[in-house]
Amino acid sequence: MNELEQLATSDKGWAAARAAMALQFSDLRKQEKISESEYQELLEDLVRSDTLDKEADDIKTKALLISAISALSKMA
Amino acid sequence: MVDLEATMTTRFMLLLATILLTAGCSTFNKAASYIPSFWDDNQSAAIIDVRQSIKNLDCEKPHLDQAYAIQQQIQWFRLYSESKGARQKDVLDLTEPLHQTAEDFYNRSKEQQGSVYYCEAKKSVLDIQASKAAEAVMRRF
Repeated sequence: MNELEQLATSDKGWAAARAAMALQFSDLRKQEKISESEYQELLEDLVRSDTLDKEADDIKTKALLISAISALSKMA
Repeated sequence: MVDLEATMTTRFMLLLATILLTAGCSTFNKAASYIPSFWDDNQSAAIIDVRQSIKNLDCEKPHLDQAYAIQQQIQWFRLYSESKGARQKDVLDLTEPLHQTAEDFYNRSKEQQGSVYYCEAKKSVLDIQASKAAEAVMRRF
């Protein structure tokens, strides 16, 4: 939990946002506003979001690469 | 200088083509996976439809119909991409987490209505995932 609190205040935007959400879900569970299975599902969703981030960055990098290669071919 | 660059680029492309043609299918498939998908009007419109449905999700109202609508829109996007061919693997991988998140929401809502707090939390996660996916889909060439 300490690690999450530290991450929530870190300067890494995406990590801070995810950690803040995880803490928020944990609070909801503690206050019994969500069930245990709802809580587990939401945490799984957060883990899955990281996979999506990597895929999105990959697509953006590939797009950048294509753009750079086309620029190079125009120069040739 | 420009001529030298052009010659080097041509040589590199020829070398790459030779390697791909002689190294067999597995290498070719691996190389093909590095080729990204390109801009598609239908995919762009579909991913914004998903975002709009998530934005309009009203957690005070019954969840099932709303979860079904989101799940169906993501399914449409994925079926369309799948039908377009192998080069769409990147967008299929990209939308897999979003698909799973929406599917879980739909399956839970089918059994019984979740709490408003659960729905609001789910909405935040779906919103983040869909906006990230839309950003990647719409910034392609």
